[in-house]
Amino acid sequence: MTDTAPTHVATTNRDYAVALGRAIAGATIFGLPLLMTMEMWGLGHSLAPLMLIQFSLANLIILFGLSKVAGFEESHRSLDDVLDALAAYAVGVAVSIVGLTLVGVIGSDTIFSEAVGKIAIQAVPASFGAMIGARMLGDDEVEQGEQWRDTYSGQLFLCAAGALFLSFTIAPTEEVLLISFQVTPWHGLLLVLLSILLLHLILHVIGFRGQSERIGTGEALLLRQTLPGYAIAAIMSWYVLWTFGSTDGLDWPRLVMAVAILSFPAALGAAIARLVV
Amino acid sequence: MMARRGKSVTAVPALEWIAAGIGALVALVILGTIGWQALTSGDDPVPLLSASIESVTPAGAGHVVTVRVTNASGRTAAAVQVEGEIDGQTSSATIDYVPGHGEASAGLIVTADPRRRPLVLRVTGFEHP
Repeated sequence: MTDTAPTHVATTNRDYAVALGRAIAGATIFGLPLLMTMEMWGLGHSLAPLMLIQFSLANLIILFGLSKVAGFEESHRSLDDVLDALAAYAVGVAVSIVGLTLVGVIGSDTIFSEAVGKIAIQAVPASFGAMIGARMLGDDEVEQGEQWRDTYSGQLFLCAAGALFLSFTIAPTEEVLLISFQVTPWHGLLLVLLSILLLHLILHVIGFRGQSERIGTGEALLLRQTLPGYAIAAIMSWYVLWTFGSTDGLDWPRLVMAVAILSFPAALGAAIARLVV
Repeated sequence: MMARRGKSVTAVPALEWIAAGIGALVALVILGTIGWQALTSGDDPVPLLSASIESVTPAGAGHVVTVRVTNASGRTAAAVQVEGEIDGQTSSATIDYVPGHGEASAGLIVTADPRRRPLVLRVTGFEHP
């Protein structure tokens, strides 16, 4: 396969087919770890329908945002981003159906509503992968002027998307709560500080694109980027835990501990998102 | 995005102030809560579990009793076994976790109606997580 397309804009059916192929590859790679996680299968029927709906809607919003910063095509209009988000979601759903069928989670004897739930949950990481894969596996990057990803709000969005994806891949497992129960508060403190430190270091090495001229001292970077990034990671961690019902029955200190534990991977996701997308 | 104002060299957009403020606040709340726990929480040696009936729902030939198990201690219990006895019939259920100072629920299935006959609830055991 030779990728010699001169532009990033899919103008022909063939270009779009290539982008679609990349999307399918991305969906497969990103969806695979969760496809083979037992807890994910259970979420399909243990989650309340309203939770499934709000989470799927949140997924679509993130996909729309990802399309603004990356995506199948170098899109210029919001309509393109909506279409790309829906296309990525369609690819995610299709790959999830095939994957879940191949590993025997859904079959002809599965109740329809249960199958839909399992597919809806699995489609979240898969559609993420579809959106990112179309960009990441591509070799041609068109740099053009001021893009949303170079703005402060765009960077914060990327943090949120990265944090959501990484926390989502870990939150369904029982281990998050188990870890939060077995560690002492001192462990928790160290983990929070390590999360912030790593986030800070990665951001410092990578830097916010297009804003480097205003980033002088370490304190400014800490305040403007690291701490907002960590807050986003923590909020996303709480959101995912809440969606999966993991926060039920937890008192405030234990809720904070569970959020702090999940914020460790979430912070790393927030930090590296701009490298991947 | 980068609105230049006459006197300041580089104006910081409002979004950055808001993000920085929220960021500092969230980090402080998390560090504060866990730090406070680290300094104040005496180590509770064991979980203190108690069970109570939350609701009774007729189901088929019997009744589903939703049992709420609360933990009065700071120590979390895992694999909590709760047992209910009614008219000599014993039913049991296992709860994955009852977090410290938290609660969790389980369902017991019994034949007799717990609203008419006395149901004796007992937490019979747990694992240390």
